[in-house]
Amino acid sequence: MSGIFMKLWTALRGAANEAGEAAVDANATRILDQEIRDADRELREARIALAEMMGKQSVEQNHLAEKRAKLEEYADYIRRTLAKQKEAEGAGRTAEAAQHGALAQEVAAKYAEQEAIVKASENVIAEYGRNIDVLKQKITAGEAAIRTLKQRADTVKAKQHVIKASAAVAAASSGTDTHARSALESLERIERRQEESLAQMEAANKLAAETSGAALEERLRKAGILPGTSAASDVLARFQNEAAGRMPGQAS
Amino acid sequence: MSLGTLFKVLARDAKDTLVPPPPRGAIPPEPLKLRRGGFLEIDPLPFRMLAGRANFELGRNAQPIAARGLVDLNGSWLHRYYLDDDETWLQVKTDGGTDDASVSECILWQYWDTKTPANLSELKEIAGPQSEIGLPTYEVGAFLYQRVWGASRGQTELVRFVEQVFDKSDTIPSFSCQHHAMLYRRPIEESSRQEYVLISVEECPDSLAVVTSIGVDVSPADLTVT
Repeated sequence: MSGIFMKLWTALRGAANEAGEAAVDANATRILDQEIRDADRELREARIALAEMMGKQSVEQNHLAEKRAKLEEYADYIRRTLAKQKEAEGAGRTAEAAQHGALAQEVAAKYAEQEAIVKASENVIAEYGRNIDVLKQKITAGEAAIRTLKQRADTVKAKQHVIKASAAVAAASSGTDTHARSALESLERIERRQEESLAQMEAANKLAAETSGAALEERLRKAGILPGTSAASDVLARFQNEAAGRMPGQAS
Repeated sequence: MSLGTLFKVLARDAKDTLVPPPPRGAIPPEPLKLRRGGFLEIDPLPFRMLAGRANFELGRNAQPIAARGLVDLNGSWLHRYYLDDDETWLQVKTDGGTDDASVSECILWQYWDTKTPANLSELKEIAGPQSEIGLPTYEVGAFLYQRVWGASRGQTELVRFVEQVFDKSDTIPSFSCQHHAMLYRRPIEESSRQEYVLISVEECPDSLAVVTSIGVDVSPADLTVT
């Protein structure tokens, strides 16, 4: 028994699967269109994300400019302080020279810190740049993929129209054949019937001619009961007789 | 990574970044992460290097932001941050927007002098036509400053603007002050920075004062906001 249930279950699953596939096939172009629209929308969102990243890179570049300016300012401080130190040393102002030397040392430490900050900022900008390049490439590839998809979808739709149109023409032409054949058959049938009717009529005429009044008349005429083709000569003879002094109808 | 996965990742990131900021009414967002309650550190080295060549002397270089002031200049904004010492304040000017990229000027100020006139005649004496405020040059300490606003050869009119002050809420101003101000500046010797003098007749709900502040250019790179 369980074997039967298994087979029934498999059959049911098969039917459900076929129904699903049929529904998908029936809406294939609609589904394709929606998928293309979804991909398009996601690509638009990707472009927004890319623009955002480029904006962040631009802001970081502005910060880098400020940080570099600060580094340059520190460099200027060091140069000036060292110059003052040298001047003080030259003038024999040892304490002042030591003060300038200490300050130069301190500024140099700040310079090193600032240099590291500038380097970090440059790395961040480079990282943004790499990500931007990758994103740009992927978006370009995505755009190309969608373009191809659209073209293929258009081709599929065009083919479907051709198939529909061809099917309609085929159906129409097959219908025309049937109708034409049927009309021809009818014509032949009518013609055949007409021929039969004509033949029947001829036969009936022959028969009627043998049995009808025409044959009787002919016989009566032959018997002289009915006036025949000689009637005219009879009339003429009668009037010839009258002119000869005999009364019409009077036998000679 | 397949194209489908790429799209999903990109879409997710885009959605994350596109979440709109919470509504804050007409109050514009603040630049450089500055905010009331934030902690501002200022690089002291540039101020040490100016020693002896400027009136400005930096006191505490790291302190909390106690209050915020905002001035609408029709397309530009002045964002003012008053620090905890009641002596120092930072002004950031933004043009166009209010994000970091729109920052066009940063000046660190400290109060130099405050005069409180008792009546109108005293106010006229301090800031009226007979005063030096509005003349082409103005002297503070050992330095002479050039007027920035106005083109008159003589005394020019003070510039009026309104400042909203936020000291209890970030979105609702506690009060507004009306300023009638004049700006002066001078280049600092052996430096690319300039020093400023701002004289302002400040009319606040509970006070009227003529306040003189001294300021120095700062770069956003001089500031660390936590």
